[in-house]
Amino acid sequence: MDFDREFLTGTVTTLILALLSERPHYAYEILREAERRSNRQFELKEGTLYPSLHQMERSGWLASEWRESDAGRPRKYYSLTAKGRRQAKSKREQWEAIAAAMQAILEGSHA
Amino acid sequence: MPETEPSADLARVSRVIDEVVRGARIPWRRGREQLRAELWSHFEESGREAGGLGGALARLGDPAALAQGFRHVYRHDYRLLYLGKLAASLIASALVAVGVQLAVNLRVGGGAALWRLAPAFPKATAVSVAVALGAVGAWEALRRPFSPRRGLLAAALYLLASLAVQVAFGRGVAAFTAGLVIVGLGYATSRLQIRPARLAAAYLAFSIFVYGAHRAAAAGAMPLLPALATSAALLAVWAASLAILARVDRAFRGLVGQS
Repeated sequence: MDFDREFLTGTVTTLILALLSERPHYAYEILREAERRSNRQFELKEGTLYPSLHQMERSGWLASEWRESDAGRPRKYYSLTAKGRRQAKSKREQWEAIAAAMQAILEGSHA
Repeated sequence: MPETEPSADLARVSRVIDEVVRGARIPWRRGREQLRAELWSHFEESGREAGGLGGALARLGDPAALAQGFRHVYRHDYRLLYLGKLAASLIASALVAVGVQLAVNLRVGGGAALWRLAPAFPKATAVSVAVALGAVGAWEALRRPFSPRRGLLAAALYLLASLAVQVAFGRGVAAFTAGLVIVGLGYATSRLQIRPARLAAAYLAFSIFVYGAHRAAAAGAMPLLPALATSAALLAVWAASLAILARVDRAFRGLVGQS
């Protein structure tokens, strides 16, 4: 599905933090995981993901390390720092509150 | 990476990665190397999907847009380094300008003091420093890709410097106006291809201006020899400023991976 950019603004950070709060991921894995979990509704773009990861790393939310891979080249794995975990919790709470409020409004408009 | 992948696609991937890394303007080598490795790792995985590397390239989208995204992330580091480059250029050029005038105007013996400076030193130094600052300003203002905003900023800073010198020493506007003319003449003659011809043309143009300016001034005509000596000093300042700018610029480009 093609989403309005207005809806997506701000969701990328929340999405990345949510996935990384489970375990460390490398960038391509985040792309595929977001696609798989959203049943291919949500296709994160490389042009958005990579700069966002670097921005979050610069902000101290993420740490990174290179790990050897069986497939060939080493991969850069990102994980949450303590600051990143606090951000992840805060973003999730905000997202859930917004989603619940929006749901209530949308249901009300159908009543 | 699959061995069957056409080498043309690999070459395209390599070019795209180069474009992104260069355009990202990450001001440290390790950061650029890590980004390069990360993008190669990305293409290795993405290239295994349907469509191969060609498909991976298409999914990546416009490399310039991706580079722009990284540029935004690293913009503060880049600006800090750019300011450092400007400061280094300005300080080195101004110091050379003062040094040249010290060498030209230093007088030994012949009075109570063993060393003294010629009366023309303050005025000559003000013009020389103005030439050095003007050279830095013109270099940045006319740098490619041309940006009108950068040009206006350089002009405004030059004007501000002239006003500051005017307030502090009472000779800023005249010196900076002369400096601006010298810089203009220097740039006009720098279009010549052969270096000796460039220097000779600049020297001739500076001499005509210095001689003419003194003739036009109420103080009266300047003898030819002092005018030629003044022009030689200005030529030394101009040439030294350009050499400093070229060297500092090369070092800066190397640091941000754009050499």
